Parts: sequence; C-alpha cells; structure tokens
Amino acid sequence: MTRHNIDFSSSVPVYRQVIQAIKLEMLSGRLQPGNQLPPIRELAKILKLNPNTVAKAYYNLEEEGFIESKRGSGNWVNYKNNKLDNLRMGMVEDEVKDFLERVFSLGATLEDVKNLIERYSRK
Amino acid sequence: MSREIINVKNLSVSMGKKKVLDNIDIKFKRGESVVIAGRNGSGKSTFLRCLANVILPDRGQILFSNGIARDKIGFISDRLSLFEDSTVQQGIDFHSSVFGIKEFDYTLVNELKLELNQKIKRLSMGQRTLFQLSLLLSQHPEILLVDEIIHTIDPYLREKFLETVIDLMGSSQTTVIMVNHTFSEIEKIPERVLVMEKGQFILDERTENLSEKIKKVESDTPIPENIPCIFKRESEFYKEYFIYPFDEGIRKKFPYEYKDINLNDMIKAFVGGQYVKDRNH
Amino acid sequence: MLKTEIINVLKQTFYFLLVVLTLPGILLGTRIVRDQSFFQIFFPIFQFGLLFWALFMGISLFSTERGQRGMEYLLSLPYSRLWLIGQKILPRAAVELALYFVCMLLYVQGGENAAAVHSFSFTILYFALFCISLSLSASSDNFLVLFVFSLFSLAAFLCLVFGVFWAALQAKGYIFYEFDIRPFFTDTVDRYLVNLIVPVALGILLPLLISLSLAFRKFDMRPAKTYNKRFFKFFVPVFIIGLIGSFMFAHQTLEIGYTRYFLTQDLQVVEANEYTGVKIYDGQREYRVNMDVYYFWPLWQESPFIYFWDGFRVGRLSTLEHTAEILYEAPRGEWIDWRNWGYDRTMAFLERKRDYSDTHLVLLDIDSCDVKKIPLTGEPFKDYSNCMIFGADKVEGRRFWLIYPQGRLEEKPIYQLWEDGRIDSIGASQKWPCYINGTLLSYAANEIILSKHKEGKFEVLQSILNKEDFHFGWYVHFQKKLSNSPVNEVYGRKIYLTSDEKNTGQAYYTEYARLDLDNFKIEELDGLKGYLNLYSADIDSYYALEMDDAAHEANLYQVKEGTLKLLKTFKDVDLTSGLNSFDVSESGMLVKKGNKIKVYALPDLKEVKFKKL
Repeated sequence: MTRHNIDFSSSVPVYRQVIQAIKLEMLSGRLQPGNQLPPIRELAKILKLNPNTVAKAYYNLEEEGFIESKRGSGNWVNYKNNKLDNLRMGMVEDEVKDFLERVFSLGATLEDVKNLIERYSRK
Repeated sequence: MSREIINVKNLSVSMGKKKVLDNIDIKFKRGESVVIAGRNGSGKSTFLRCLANVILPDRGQILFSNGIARDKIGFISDRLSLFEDSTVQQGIDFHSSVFGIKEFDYTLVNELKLELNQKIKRLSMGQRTLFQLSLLLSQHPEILLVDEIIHTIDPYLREKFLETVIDLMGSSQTTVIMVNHTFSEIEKIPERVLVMEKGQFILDERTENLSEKIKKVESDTPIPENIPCIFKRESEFYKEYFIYPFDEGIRKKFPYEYKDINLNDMIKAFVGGQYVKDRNH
Repeated sequence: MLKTEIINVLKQTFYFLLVVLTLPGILLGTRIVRDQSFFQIFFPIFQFGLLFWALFMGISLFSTERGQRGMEYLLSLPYSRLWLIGQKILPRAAVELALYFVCMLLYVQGGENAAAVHSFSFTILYFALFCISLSLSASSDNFLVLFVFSLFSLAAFLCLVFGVFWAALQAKGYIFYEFDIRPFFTDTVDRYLVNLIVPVALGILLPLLISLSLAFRKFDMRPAKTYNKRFFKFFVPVFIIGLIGSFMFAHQTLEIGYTRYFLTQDLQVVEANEYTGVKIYDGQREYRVNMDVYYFWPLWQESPFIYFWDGFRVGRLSTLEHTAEILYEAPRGEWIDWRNWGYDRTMAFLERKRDYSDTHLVLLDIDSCDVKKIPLTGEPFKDYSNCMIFGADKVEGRRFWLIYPQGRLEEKPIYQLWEDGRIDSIGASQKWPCYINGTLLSYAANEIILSKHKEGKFEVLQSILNKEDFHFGWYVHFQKKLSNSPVNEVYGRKIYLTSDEKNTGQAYYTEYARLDLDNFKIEELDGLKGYLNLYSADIDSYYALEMDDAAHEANLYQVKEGTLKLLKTFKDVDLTSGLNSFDVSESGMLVKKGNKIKVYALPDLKEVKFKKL
C-alpha cells in the first residue's frame, strides 16, 4: 500500500485513501486473509501520517468487515470471499465512472471511447 | 473528564515596547497534534517558549492539567541549546539525572553512530537535533514542543525525526505542538492548524475541516468582491484567489471551480494575506 | 544539578589556587623578588587574588550556560527559577566562605605582617565584591561589561558607606570633624567602628541580593533589558529603605570623640564634645556655648560659674549667661596638667611642654586673672618631670603646695613648694599621699605616716598600722575645691589582682576601708562588690557608686561614717561598651546609656526631665 501515494491535496479524506490503498492490496492478492497488517505506528511512519488517521482507517476496515483487530496482537486481514468480489466490482465501477467523466470532459464521444478500449484491450 | 491538557489564559508577553503575544486564550487537548504557522516575528517561537517555561509571561497564565509536571514537557528549538562542551555521554548523564531517567534508550544515538566521547559542539546540526530529540524522548514527555527545526536538517534526518515523532504520537498519546514553515512533509500529521500573526491566532481549525474551508479559484477575470478572499494574486496572465471561509453556499452563488489546495498553499495564502494587509496600511 | 555546579566551582577554585600558589614561586625562582619568604610574597597575592576571585565567582554565575549556549536548555529544565539560582549560588557561597576562613586563619598565623590589605577592610571588600557581582550576574551576557560595572558598583558602595557616616555626622552636628578614610585601609579598626560599619554595609548590600532573587523569579530568554528593568523596579525601593535604615542606624549609634556630661549645682547639664562643642541644657532649652573647645574638663563649681580646663586653657562657664570666658591660656606648645589645687582665690597648676620638659607652677588669681609662674627646674624636677599637686595650705600668711611625682609604685619623694619658689623635701611615700585636715598621710609598707606642719616644717605625728595596705584618699585628688574644708573621715581601698588569695575570677577585686580622722582607727567596709567610685558631695556626705560587672548592676550608696545606705540600684548596666557612664556630683547623678541621658537629683534621687537632651 505504500506504493499508492497519498494525495494530500485531494479532497478525499486521507483515511479514506488509506482504506482504498489497503483494499487494492487485498484485491491484488498481495494481502491474503491471515496476513498481518502493519501496526498503526509503522504505517503512520511510512506514510507520514498521523497515527490517528491510520487508526481510523483500520477501524473503518474492521467495521466494513475486511480486517479483524485482535487486542495485543495487531490487525489481521480476514474477510469472506464474496466480500472481495463485491469490493472489486464496486471499485471497478468507481474507476469506470471517473474514467468516463474525464474522457467526456475532453470532448470524446462514446464511440471514440469504445473503439479505443477495444484497441488497447487486445494487447 | 475533559481531555484538556493545556489551558492558556490571557497570555501576554512584551519585549520592550513591542507586544509579542497579545492576550492569547487557547486550549490544547491530550494527544492533540498541532502545527503553528505564521510569519517570522509573529510570536510563534515566543508562544512555544512560554509553554516550555523558557519565557515567563508578563500577564496571564499557562495551566497544565493535573498530573503534568514540568518534567513531562519536552522542548527543542532551532537554538539546539545544550551544554556544548559536554560530551554526548555527559549530556545524557546530566539529562538523566535531572529527569530521573534510570535507563537511557541509546537506539537513536546508535542509529546515528554518535560517539559517546564526542563533544556536543562537534556534532552536526542534524546529529545534534536528533540527539536532543532522543534526550527528550527519554523523559517520556506528555507534551512535545518543536520549534522550527525540521527545515534545518537534511531530508534523511528530517524523515527520521518525523518518524520518531509519529512513533511517539502513536505509542503514548503525546501532545505535539510544532512550529513550522514548511508543510509538505508534515502535511497530514497535525490534526489542528494555528496561524499566528502579531501575537494573536488568526486561524484555529482542524485540518480535516480546513480543506473544506479553504479553496482556490483560478480565473481570467477578477472575482466578485463579496467572496471572502484572504489572498489573491492578479497578473495579466494569471489570477488566483484563495477563499476563506468557504461553504457550499458560495459555490451555489458563485459557480467557479473551487480547487482543493494542500496545507502549504493554505498557509501561504494566510501569510501572504498578512503581508498585503501590512502594505496597505 | 547541584553536583555539576559543585564540580565546576571546585575545578575553577583549583585553578585559581594553582595560580596563586605558583606565582610567588615564580617570582622567587626568577629572583624578581628577593629576601622574602614564600609566605610573605604569597599572602598579599592571595589577598588580592581572593578579591578578584570574589568578583569572578559572582559574575560567572551563568558563564557556563552563556558560553556553551545552554541557557535555554537550563531554563527549560523542570526547576523553578529560585531553585536554579539557589543551586548556582550555594556552591559559590560555600567556596567563598571556605576561602575566607583560610585567609583569616593564615592572617592570624602570621599573615598580619605580610598583609597588603588590613583584615577588616579586606573582609568588607571581599563580601561586598561577591554580593555586588552576584546580583549583577543576570543583567548582562557580556563578561567584560559585568566586570567593569561591578567595579564601578564597588566604588559606589564604598562611597555610600562613607557617605552614610558623613551624613550621620553632619546630622548630629559634628561640624569640626574631618573624615579621613585612610585609616580604614591601613590601621586596625577598633571594635566600635566595626560594629558600625558592618550594619551599614549590610544595609547597602542586602538590597542587591534581595532584588536579585525577586527579579530572577521572572528571568527568561528575553534580552537583558527586560530583566534589568525588573531588577531596578525592585532594587530602587529596597535600596532606598536600606540606605535610610543604615543612615538612621549610624545616626543613632555613631559617637565620634568623647562626649562628657556634667551636672551643675543648679541641675543643668553641660555637654561637651570636641567635635560638636559645648552645650548647656536647662530642662527646657538647649544653649550652645560660643567657644572653641578642644577638650572640656570641669574642675569645680562656684555658682554660677563652672571652672574648667581644656588642655591648655583655664576658663569658666556661666550657667546663668550660658557663656564661657577664658581666664588663662598656656603659651604656645605648652600644656596644662589637669591636676591642680586651689586655695583662697588662687588656683595652682603645673604647666609644661609636651615632652614634659620645662615645668612651671602657675598661680592664677581667679578674680583678677593675675598670673605668677614659678619654674620647676633643678634637682627633684629633673628626675621626675611628671609631677602632680596633691595639696595646698597656708602657713603664717605664706602659701605652699605639695607635689608628688607620677610613676611606678615605689617610694618617691614628696616636695613642698613655697610661693616664693623655695622647695623643701618632706619625706617619701610608696603610694600617692593625701593631705587632709592639714595632715599629710604618706605610705610606707603596712604603715601610714601622719605628718603635720609645725614651726615651718612637716613633722611626723604618728604612724598607724595599715595591715592590709589600704590606700586612703585616692579620690581626694579629684577634689577641686578652692578651700580645704575639715573632714572627719577618709576612705581607702585595696586592689587585689587575680593572682591574689581572694581570687574571684575577676581581673581585680577591691576592698574598702574607712579611716577615722579623729581616732585614726581603720575599719573595713563589708558588703561592697565590684568597683567603687567615691564622690564627696559636700562636707558631710559621700556618695559611692558601686559597679557590679558580674550582675550588670550599679548601686548608689550614701556613705557616712562607715555605713552604707543603698539609695538606688540601676539594673541592666553594661559598663564594658564605653557608651555608658554614671557620674555623681554634688547636685545629683547623671546616667548615660547609649544615647539616653537621665538625671537624678540628690538627695532624693528624683528624676529631672530634660526636654532637649
């Protein structure tokens, strides 16, 4: 998740970005159920964030059911399989929405977009 | 119970005729992380020194909640004040004896590869900074006061410094108050931003709220006067306006593109606005 | 933190001592100084070194912090400002005191001869420098500035000390006194001045230290000006109080020169001081007598005149007019002996040069001021130049005076000096003889020899056994009446020194006896303690003032025919300080305690109030 830079000037709250980054890790398979997440302090140090921010992110992830916080031993990835699929779909949908918004603001038509998608997806 | 840890009441400090701190009223909570920004000479360092008991107020008082003794306050400034002729080890011993530290944690000292017999005045700025930080850490401070020190050291040590502070914040609910001029590296560490000007706080907001309250507008034409603008830069080719306080009502009324800005630019806007104010007087 | 301070201070002291000890060695070794012992060179160096050391110890209070950029660090430590300054001052004060005691020890062990500065002035300078430099230490970062300012302050301090005394003297009317400060540095300062100078010095120094601690409570990293303003805010009022207090103290206790008080027959008080002049108090007012006086000693009274002597003049004071007139003045360079005798209207006294040579017997007629001088040269007076007149009489119209030499207690001749200049030797005496009722009492071992003038010369009448070797009439020399009146008794005393059998722990111990002049019987007087001053007020009664040093009491007795009647006891009397005196005269008693004067009239000892005294 450290590969995903936090965009400090984005209007998206930082903790949300952290959540997003962790979810991406899970989606990509780099974080498997049973893996331990970095301790709050460590992640805060790496990302140069307030530990409270990281704590908030972990708390939300726990609420959403992706991780489990065990007192004394840290935070562990633990989710049910279908959760990940739902997540995947949700994130893909968000990406597509953003993508379309951006290309349409450039003045592209749906036809242009579809053609380009097909061309590049063949590679 | 209130989590209040510091309560500043009517704090005033004068240096000669100039009033450096002007009747300041402010509270800090336990575990809060705060950054204080402002122009040079606005009183930031003086304020921090008052909290550290290095400068004594002419009027007003600084109250610490019960349980906070003076030895739980750690203070480091760009003066990097230590007994220079002492060696590293002597400095450690002295500090330990004053604060009653039984076992000093040499981790940072070892990481920096400091020689214990070296005189403190022979250390580089960076080494000295982190050395002093390690001394402060050994006190297990409940309040950490950092005055304009980040930008004077190299990026590596700077990162180390910040990581140490973050570690402290995470492990022991330490209240951290930093005076800074640059914000790129500490962008998301403080929860609360204070801007000081002429001995008073002109801005006191939580960082999460700030991004919603300060926006930038880039425009070719001047924007209406009644949009609250704290700073603007108008040239032939480029005009930018910094809006504070922003709310959704303004967006509805004046449909410009309101951009989010980072902390550095926010502070720049605030400080810049003060310069403009001075020029116009 | 105290430990660090102590170590620092000791280190610095060590270096100081090293320098002070090696410098004399170098001077001796390189033969720059010769013919002196190590100690002789060392001690003055040590003294001056200590003075600079006191200065240095004070202003270097924060030198480590300032030099090592550690002031901010120091102030951020969890110590109160007062605690901080205490930690700093304590080791330095301890070293100061220790070195002082070493210096004093060395002084006593021979340093006195080698000293460059006298011990008292050294003490004052030493502690003053320390206090001054200490209190200035926080007011500047600059060592040189502090150093210079401290020295100026020291000069100011010394001026103030002397200024306070000068002002007190002026306020008391000491118009003739010239203040010379040189003795302060070179001579042994007597105890009295020490007791005065120390409180005044403290009154000026303490405000500095008080202001330091008050101002330091708010010491911080702001520029020195802020601290200095605060320091002065405290210093000015405290200093003014201290200065006023010192002045008032000096004014109260300062007494320069000797002030004599004399009670006149009509119960007026004459006050004489060589510096303030002569004043007369009559109960309501104070009168200044317009006369130059060097020394005022009342001789006798003949209302309304008091005849007095002032060293080289004889004059009389009028208690009615409150004026003085000079009856006789000795020639320049000559001195009048105060032991004189009167007969009829003639006063006789000895006049001599200051080296006791060239003695004359001067006969002064009180009324006409006519003077007759008889030179006393030749045999007896060559050997005994310091003689005294102890009696006078008139036989067949011719007057004579009895003279006895001063000196050691050994047998010395008695002379009879006739008006025409003829000198007769009339025996010898081991103690001062006494002439009472026309009878000469002279002393041999355990014997009193009585002689009377018969047919032109003195003849021995009888000798009385004087087992205890009492000395009678020792007080009679103080009798200054113009005419001898017959008395029927005379009192005597015997002084025992501590090596005697009757060792009471005092330096001396006196016993008294009475000699009846009718039956020549000697009876000892019991019940008298301490030292007795006998005053014969008139023909019939004597008054005795008994000083009991041990019990700090003085008792006034009326003495008559060997019986003592206690009239009054004065308690709480301190006779050792020299500031108290008790004087009995024919009209009453004058008691001086410090600055308070009380007068009691005889015979009932009722207190007489004086408004201005």
